[in-house]
Amino acid sequence: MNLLRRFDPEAALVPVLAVVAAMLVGMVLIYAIGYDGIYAYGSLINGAVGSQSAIAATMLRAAPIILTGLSVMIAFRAGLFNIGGTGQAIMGLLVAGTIATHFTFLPGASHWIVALVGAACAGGLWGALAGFLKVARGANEVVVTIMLNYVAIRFGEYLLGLGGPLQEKGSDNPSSALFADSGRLPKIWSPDPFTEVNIGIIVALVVATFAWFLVARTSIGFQIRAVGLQPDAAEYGGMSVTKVTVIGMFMAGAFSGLGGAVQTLGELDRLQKSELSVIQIGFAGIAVALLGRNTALGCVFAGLLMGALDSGAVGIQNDNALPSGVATKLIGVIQGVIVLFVGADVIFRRLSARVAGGFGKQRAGPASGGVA
Amino acid sequence: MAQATPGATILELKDVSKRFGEFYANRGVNFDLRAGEVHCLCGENGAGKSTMMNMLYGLLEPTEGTISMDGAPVHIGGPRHAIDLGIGMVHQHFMLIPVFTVAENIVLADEPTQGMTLDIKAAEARVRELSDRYGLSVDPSARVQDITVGQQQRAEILKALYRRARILILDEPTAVLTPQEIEELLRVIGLLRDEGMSIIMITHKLKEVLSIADRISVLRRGEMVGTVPREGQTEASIANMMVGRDVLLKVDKTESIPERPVLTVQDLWVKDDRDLDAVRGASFEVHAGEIVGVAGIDGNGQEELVDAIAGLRPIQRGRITLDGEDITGLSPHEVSEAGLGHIPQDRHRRGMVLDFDLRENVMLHDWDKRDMVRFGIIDRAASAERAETLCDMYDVRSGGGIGSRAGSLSGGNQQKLVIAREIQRDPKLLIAAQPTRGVDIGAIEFIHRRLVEERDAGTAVLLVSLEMSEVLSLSDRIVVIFEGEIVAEFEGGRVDEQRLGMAMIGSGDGHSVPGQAGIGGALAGPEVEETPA
Repeated sequence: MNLLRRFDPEAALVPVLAVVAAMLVGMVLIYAIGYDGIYAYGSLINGAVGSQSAIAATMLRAAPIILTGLSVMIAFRAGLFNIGGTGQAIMGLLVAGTIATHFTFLPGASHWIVALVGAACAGGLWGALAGFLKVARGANEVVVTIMLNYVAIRFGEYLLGLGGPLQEKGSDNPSSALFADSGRLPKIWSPDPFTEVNIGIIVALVVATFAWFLVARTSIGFQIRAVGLQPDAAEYGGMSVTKVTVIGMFMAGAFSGLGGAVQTLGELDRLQKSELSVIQIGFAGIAVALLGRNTALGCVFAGLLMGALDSGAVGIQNDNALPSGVATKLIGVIQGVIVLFVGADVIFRRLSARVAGGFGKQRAGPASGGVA
Repeated sequence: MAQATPGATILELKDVSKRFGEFYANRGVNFDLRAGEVHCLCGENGAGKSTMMNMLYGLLEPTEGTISMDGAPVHIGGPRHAIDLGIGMVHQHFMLIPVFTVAENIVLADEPTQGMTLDIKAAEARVRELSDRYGLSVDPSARVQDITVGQQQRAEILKALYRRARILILDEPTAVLTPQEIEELLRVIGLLRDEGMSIIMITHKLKEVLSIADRISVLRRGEMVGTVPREGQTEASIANMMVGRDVLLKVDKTESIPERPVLTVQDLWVKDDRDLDAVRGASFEVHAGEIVGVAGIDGNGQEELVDAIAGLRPIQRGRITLDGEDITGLSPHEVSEAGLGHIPQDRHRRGMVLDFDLRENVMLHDWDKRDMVRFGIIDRAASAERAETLCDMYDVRSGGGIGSRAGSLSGGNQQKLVIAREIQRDPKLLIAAQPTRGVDIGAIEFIHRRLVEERDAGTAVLLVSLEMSEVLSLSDRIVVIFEGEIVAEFEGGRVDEQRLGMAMIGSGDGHSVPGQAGIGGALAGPEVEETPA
């Protein structure tokens, strides 16, 4: 029933409109700089879903941001804004990479699975730290998670930097030793010799299903939603806002940690210091959750769409009829406008609810409470 | 300030009604305001005072009737329009921006400008001029977050004056003030009146009414009981009008058979959100099989008392036991496990999650109970079955069955759901705070009957209500709370509204309670005699 409720066409309307509007804005921009917008979009779609290779690229890019999207989603459900996806992803990928490199004693598939579990735990603890600081010290989770992003980046740079504990022995490069093959995510599909889809997308879908089940069907999900919607009522119901905040942030961190691990173990062959400061998936997760309306299913669709835009950008880039710089910028603009439109809707709803709520104390009182 | 002939009617409400669904918040209200008078509007909570004022301020539109100003009908489209018409309102909760200065707040939305920039000097000068003229001392350049509540209120009044209000509506202006600040405010109100301002003051503090009002209007259950000049009125006569002599809601109940004490509260001290003592040394007991009513005017510590018992608010001092078990300082969950059922006074904030459906709301306390949750997974069938049963038994009507959003239900049905849930838990102690607030007559009777049935089943019931008639008709015993202290205790059925009302307003110094001896005679607990009011 919950699943059906989330298929509510009205709920999907705004995200769809936002995407369409953003595409139109993008097209106007292309024409404005003197190129054929329709043609460019043809390249974009071609690059996103036009071939098996394109679809594979889309899936590859979608997997990590679905996971970080779920991270933002679950925190949001608990009434928290998790901007810390980046840091949590880094803690996750550091642990996953270390396990993938060194825990070669793990047999077969258990190697990469243990690496992912380790990533989830590391990211989870990093997220829970922000939750703990919030409940113990009253620190705003937005500020704390942003700060912890930088802490995680610098920590990773230390570990992988020259002379750092994770740097490959005897190498001059700021990177770890190669992952063992069994530690990398197994390939599930290879439409052409240059493109390999790994199991990451399956992991993302499994985790999304788990996230949906957790939120909709479990006791902790019940508590998370109650605390997120009405902390006073949750407290009255005997729930511990403290506990739920920490657990919610742990779950959020765990999903982001998985996102970092899926990206690293899927696409790289070793941990690299230079990768840490350019990680995008944390912030992309915010856009995914926003576009996905903070539902698990929505995050899957939104992640696939954002992934398609990313791989579509490659399609434009490879098209010689268009200037190569246009593609990435254009995709950035479209993604930005999507977030802006969806965000504007959310902000507008909240504001109007708050305005109505403010007066509602007087206005709605008699209607529902009878206190005039 | 535009001057009208003193004594002329400048504002008039004629047959004004405001209906919310089936509920009349105001019905056929007639009211007039004369130039240069202080007109106090009294009434119990929920009598419709704020609704009436919100119509005057354009926040609500009358369902029927007309509002006229200076003899001509007006349609007040919104606060902005009300301000343009010369109506200024000081809300109970101030509408100031904390990080702005007093002057910035006052000129907000009507700023003196110099080219494109705000002329803050001019603004401060204008504010200073107004504050000197009316003796409303407040520093225009101070930030609102740094000044006292009394000063913030003065800033609100100045804001209305700055916007050239000639009618000033003050919504319970003294509720948030200290006694000294109240005195100061009343002085300012007198000054404003002398300057020709027409003032409507909403309050239920009768002492203030008698000291400042020129005329007094009383609302009861949305209807205007009458308008009287101050001369010849006493606190008792106004209280009488507020409460009314109409027949009590009849509740069929037999004599209670109190058994063992279930709730004991000993020397309880609790602070409110502003860190002031809200409950000050309260002691009382509630026995199994009796309903104890807590009577008192809103804001005398009832909310904090209930929250403290339920574990929702920290206790400064004192001891609470529930059926022999010490529950002092336990968490809400633990208190609930110890046998508390709690119908909270604010069902929208506490009592239910409005965005949850009925099934989920029914299991709000039961997220870790074996019968609802197995291995951390919610048993949807079990919770749905319980929700169906309770909705059936308590006649909770909803648009879409147990899948309906709780927020979509009417107030009465929401309350029935909360009551159903709490009674179903088979509590040893049932706290019913404002159980019939905002519900229609039919639901009121139903709820009252349920509470009595619970009592008869041997539950200890603590009823907290601002409705004197409710307390009188349901309670086997009544304790009166005033400024956080239990100041009197009566046996149910052995006290009338006048005496209860006097006790509720602190009865002057506590010595002038008519029939003090009578109260003493009705006392059931020794602690009252030891508590000087």
